Amino acid sequence: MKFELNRDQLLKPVQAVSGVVERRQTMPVLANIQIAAEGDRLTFTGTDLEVEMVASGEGRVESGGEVTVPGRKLLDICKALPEGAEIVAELKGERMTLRSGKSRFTLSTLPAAEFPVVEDIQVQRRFEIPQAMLRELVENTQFSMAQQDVRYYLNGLLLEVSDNRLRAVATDGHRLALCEREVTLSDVGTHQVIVPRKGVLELQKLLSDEDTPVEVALGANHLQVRVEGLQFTSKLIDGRFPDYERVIPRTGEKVVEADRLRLRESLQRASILSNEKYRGVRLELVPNALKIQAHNPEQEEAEEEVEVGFDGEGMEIGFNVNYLLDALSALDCETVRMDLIDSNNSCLIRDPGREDCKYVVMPMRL
Amino acid sequence: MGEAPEHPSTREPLPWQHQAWERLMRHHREGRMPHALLLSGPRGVGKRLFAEAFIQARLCRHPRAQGTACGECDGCRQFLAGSHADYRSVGIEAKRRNILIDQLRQLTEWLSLTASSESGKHALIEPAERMTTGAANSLLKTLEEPPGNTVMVLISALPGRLPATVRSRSQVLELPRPTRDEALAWLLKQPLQETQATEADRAEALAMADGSPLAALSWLESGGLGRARESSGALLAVASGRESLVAAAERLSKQELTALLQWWRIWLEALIRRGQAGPGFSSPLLDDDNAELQKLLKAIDWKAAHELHQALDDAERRADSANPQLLIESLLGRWYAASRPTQRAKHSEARA
Repeated sequence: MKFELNRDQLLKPVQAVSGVVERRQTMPVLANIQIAAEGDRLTFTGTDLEVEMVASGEGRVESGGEVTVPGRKLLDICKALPEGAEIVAELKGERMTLRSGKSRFTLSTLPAAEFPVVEDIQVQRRFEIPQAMLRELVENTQFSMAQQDVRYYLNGLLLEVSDNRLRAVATDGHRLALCEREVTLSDVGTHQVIVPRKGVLELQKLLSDEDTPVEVALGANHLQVRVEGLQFTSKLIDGRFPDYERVIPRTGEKVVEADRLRLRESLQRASILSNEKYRGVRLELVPNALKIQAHNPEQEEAEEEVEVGFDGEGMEIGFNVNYLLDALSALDCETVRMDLIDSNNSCLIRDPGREDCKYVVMPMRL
Repeated sequence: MGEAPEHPSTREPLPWQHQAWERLMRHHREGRMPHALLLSGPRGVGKRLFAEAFIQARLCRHPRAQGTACGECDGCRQFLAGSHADYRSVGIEAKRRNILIDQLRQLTEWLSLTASSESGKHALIEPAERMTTGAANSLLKTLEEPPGNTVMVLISALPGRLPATVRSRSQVLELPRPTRDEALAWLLKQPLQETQATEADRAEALAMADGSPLAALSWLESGGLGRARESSGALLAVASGRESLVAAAERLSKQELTALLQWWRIWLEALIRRGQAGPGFSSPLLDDDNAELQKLLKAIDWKAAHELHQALDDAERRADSANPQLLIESLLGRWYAASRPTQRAKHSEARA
């Protein structure tokens, strides 16, 4: 195996794939990245067994082949070489040499056969959407995922496709976030996958705000996303997501509309003196005003009042302030609408003008 | 099966595991694989090897006719390199004495993800009886109903120490100890070029390992035979009064304590049997031509020897928390007293 390319042609793909390679790896081969050369294409692969990143690059391939080399070291060498430097890489026996100008590096290798790559993911659904859209869906919901919950199917993000809609849902059992976009995905039918936390965070890093398309493939055991020369593959969570539609209140009896930023700022101030562990705040709803109260075990207290649009019978309800703040931060509307029933029922938070992002927060007893 | 494998490190079941292997393969072929298996059986009979052979066979893409792994495909190569995405093993970590709850939490987290190949996920836990109570409890839910296509293999030489809740959730597969002939035949086939072990050496190692062939192999490979001969020399020297107790204790405490205690117990067992059965019983551990040994057999106090045997058994269990030198001195003291009862009598007379 022998190929030639310039420093930037090597740095870009190596940087992209080494992000998923775990630093402290007990199995030496998993700290490596795989390089495959065929025709005039080079393919670089990094994995941590949960997520895999494949980057393709260009170079002049003199003879093809595949091998794995220590990822971190390869990256450091690439970075340290001067910009635009020409590099010749050659596999000799069990060593790979990199030559550039008067520099020469000899790296140890391990056989590519010992390197676990995801092969056929058995695609069940495939579609294309603008990458900004996928990024929004993920960003607007991922904060509600559970962390290390025994209900393992909650430790991830549900992606649900149907013929004219793509939906992301996350819940930790106390709050739920749902975001959907209308898209025409011909003939995909309805399909659900749960992407694990790690995969969600890596996916978020990968996607940009641009409107260029991403290709998404849902397999029996994997999610695969292709964007700009990169192929990202994540394992899924091996379980079924609970029936979340049941927990989303339709419309509440008490509808409150408030200035989103004002409400958020008030809650933020009040939260300073809420119990550090339980984060509880008491909301008291009276005609045209929402009073916020927080206190902590040191008997310190915060009181806030926000002007809101509400007429009806008043009520009191308690919430974990962080859950309210997360929802208010994810929305970007000027006015926010909250639907309430009574102090024992969940609250629905959303943009009054749209139905595509919904946040449900369960009350807490104070 | 059982012949020297083509690929040196490919895991294959051992000759005496034929029946157990067939039983498991039948489940495998019929797609009725239990999701939790408990492999039990004495130490050193090849439980781990069997488990690895089984898991490798399931991950292998081109298994051979008997269902064993090919050793050549990517599935096999990745399994052997420890990089297969569908295999995880959990054991006691360095400087720890138990399998901890955090290790099992990581395992269950991993099991909650989908498998990357069609063969499903495989988890191995050994020694299962060393899971802390918390660790074992955290495993119960997964053991009962693991997510997706999962096979969990628990290995234990002491399944009685496992919580009943774990045992009842797994299907037990008993791996037998081979007969002495089977074990010796297998042991004779092992290469062992470096140690140049003769047939007699191998028989001696097998006796020392209580008939467990893999344990015998590791005795031979680690030079345990030489150490054992030195130890028996030291014991005989103390018994005949050639060497002082303190000097012998110092010599013996240089050895690895658990291995020494185990050898001592087994050697003493052979001695007691020889004493009771007479010359009709012969053991590779006892050299009948040794004059000191013959003398010892006549003089020894069998009751005290039995008590020492019990003490060795207890010491073996507490070995990791003991001070080796002190423990060995106290055991040697009992050995001295048992082997020279007349001396002791004379001492007490003199004192009277």
